[in-house]
Amino acid sequence: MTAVELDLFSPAAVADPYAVFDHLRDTDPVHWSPRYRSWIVTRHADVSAALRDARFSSDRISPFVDAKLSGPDADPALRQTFAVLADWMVFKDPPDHTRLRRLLRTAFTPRSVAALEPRVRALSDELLDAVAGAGRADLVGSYAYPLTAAVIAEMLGVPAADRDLFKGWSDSISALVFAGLGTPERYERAADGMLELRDYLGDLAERATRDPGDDLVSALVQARDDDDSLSHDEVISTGVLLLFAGHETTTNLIGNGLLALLQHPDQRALLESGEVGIGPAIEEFLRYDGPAKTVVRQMAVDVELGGQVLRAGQRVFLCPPSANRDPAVFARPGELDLTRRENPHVGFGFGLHYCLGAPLARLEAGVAIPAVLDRLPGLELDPAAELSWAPVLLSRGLTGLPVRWRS
Amino acid sequence: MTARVDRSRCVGSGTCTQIAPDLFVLEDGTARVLAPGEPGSRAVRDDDRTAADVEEAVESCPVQAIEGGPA
Ligand code: HEM
Ligand code: SF4
Repeated sequence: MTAVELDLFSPAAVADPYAVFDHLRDTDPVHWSPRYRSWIVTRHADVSAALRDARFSSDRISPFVDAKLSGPDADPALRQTFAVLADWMVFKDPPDHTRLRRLLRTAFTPRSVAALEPRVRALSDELLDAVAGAGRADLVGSYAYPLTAAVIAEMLGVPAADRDLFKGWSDSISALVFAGLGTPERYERAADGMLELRDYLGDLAERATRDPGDDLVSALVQARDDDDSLSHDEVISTGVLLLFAGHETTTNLIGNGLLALLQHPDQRALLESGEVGIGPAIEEFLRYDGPAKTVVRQMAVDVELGGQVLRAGQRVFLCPPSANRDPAVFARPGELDLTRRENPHVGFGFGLHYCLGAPLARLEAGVAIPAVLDRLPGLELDPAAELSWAPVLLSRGLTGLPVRWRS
Repeated sequence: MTARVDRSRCVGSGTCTQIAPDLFVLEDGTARVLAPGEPGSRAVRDDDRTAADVEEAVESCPVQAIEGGPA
């Protein structure tokens, strides 16, 4: 394989990153990429070791803020935008991380999330009602994306009338945080969207302080751990984080999972006949083609990993999709097999930053995927359409899932 | 009251160790139960607080790796 093909942004690698990952894992599992000025870590053992090692720091944003945004001529809008990101637990190490995560813990337990199931089901039905007669649709654009936006918006306490605003802002944050930043204008638009969202959540938080409901913003405002609580700014930042972390990722789990089923009729039959439950199926979707393409860390000190020395300050891309197809851990790693018993995938990460929203993502996908199979008879990929994948480094997701069925 | 962690399932989220640091510890990235009498562990293991903590940990673990049971 040539150096060009090692570019994870090349069209071929965006369509099929697994070929690149397989090659790296076999030949250079802790690989220095001059292009990204980062290490690329591809073996399951190394990825999961790094994820449980505090020397692989999650605090990768304050150096950037210090370097780029503290000077006198730093763009103020950008500085404000990054102030929102700087409060995200995902960018923090203990003890700051522990504090934020403790304050959010109870909102995302499997049990508190299970209470949302009827609403997820109702929202899913509503969206499927709207397309069922058409016989064809893009299930990402007209189902998975609006469904997951509505779930998190409703959870936060956003009134139904404001849903579409919310969806637009979600696009903005993705543009800002995902590495596929195009032009400076795009960046500015994204920053504007983020500031609008910040102000909107600020209003919600004020309302929740005066008149708390049973929504998540109210829960954040009221969250207490001994004498500790979240500041007003932290409530806002956390709201932005939950939208960002929970929307596009869950969209992609639903989209990639449906695609995997449509491409593997034998596996789909196992699910439809009830031979395999949706729970293990979702774990296999996360392993086989999960939404998280890279998880980023920054070295706090020099560490040796896989025969290489990773120097303090260097950036590291840990690659769950590669770890999840490591033949040292998974038999027939390239095959979708819903009947796998042991499935120690790292699709939700591992360790202290293990996805806080995992119970919610599992619930949403567990409702959304079977609902599609139930409601749209004879579902198949639209033979006329071509699939394409979003050209971003952090996530793996379809730009659309064109399908047709008997209506 | 007893608790058991299936360490092959545990994903090291630290949820149980936050709920009850005197019942669970993270060791090499995954959780294990502190035995009674071990430094840091709670001396009395059949009190109500232990039962409530174990129950909360069982319900909060994101991967159902904890099992609670009678002593
Ligand atoms: C299938 C969907 C999802 C996938 C694949 C996913 C994946 C991940 C991964 C890999 C991490 C670890 C990041 C790191 O270690 O740096 C993470 C963290 C996180 N996720 Fe998710 N996620 C999903 C859905 C959600 C949802 C629905 C929410 C909430 C609404 C959410 C909220 C979070 C938060 C708050 C963190 C940060 C946790 C921390 O830093 O302690 N995620 N997610
Ligand atoms: S809560 Fe579950 S996954 Fe998290 S550390 Fe404890 S046992 Fe492991």
